[in-house]
Amino acid sequence: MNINIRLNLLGVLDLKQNELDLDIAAETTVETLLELIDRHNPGFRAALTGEDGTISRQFVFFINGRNVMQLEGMKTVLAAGDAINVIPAIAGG
Amino acid sequence: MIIDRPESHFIFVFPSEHVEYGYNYINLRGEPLTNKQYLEHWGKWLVFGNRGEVEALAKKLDPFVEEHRVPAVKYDRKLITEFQLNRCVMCVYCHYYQRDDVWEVLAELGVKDKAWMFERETLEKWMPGGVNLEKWIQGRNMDAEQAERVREGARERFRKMFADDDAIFTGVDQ
Repeated sequence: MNINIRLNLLGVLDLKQNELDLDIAAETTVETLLELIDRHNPGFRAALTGEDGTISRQFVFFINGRNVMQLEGMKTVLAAGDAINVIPAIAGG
Repeated sequence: MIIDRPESHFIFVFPSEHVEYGYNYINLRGEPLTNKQYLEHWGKWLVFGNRGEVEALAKKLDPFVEEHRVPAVKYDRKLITEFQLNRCVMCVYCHYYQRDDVWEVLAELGVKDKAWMFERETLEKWMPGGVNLEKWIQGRNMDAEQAERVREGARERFRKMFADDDAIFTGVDQ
């Protein structure tokens, strides 16, 4: 299934690819997605995750506009057509 | 109405009635929100762009704000040096229950990336230990004593603002 990923990191991280369209397996979680994005942007997964393995408080990970920490966190399962957006937390107003 | 006061970091888009008559745009179906309701339900769509882009979008949003279809907007006058971001941030405010309607307006105007943030999340980031406050302190090269004064000031300010759950929310000084 296809999902669109936009990494709006506003210069906080140096990325090779800011926008990705990925074909992922059904039942893919956010955790797995970070690994997939990391293949295109080495170091991305390490930057996005904190010591406890969850999304670092330095970033906000949105699925269709909703903060993934208000869903199931890293265990959130993605669906076809989901739009992913990642921003630095300090950009949240 | 676009409110551009040079002394403010932000440029605002408010309904004229707010500026001229004190109309409270922080409401749901005309009913002003209490502190508790504000923290539970008020938030914003985040939009990023250079100054020209957010300014152009603000002008397009102005009529919707006048019609109360979008409660209010604010955006950075310039990049915030302390944060080292390469884009300006625009906040398009509304109640959680209205967010789909407001998103519809934004999507019509060409906004593509969805990012909803509750105001309570933003306020937490501006409390001691929060990413925004700590980054701002670091960006200002404050010494330990100054930093602690800023943290204590933030703590006290927010304590006073939200002391009474049932009081009508009166806004954040920005």
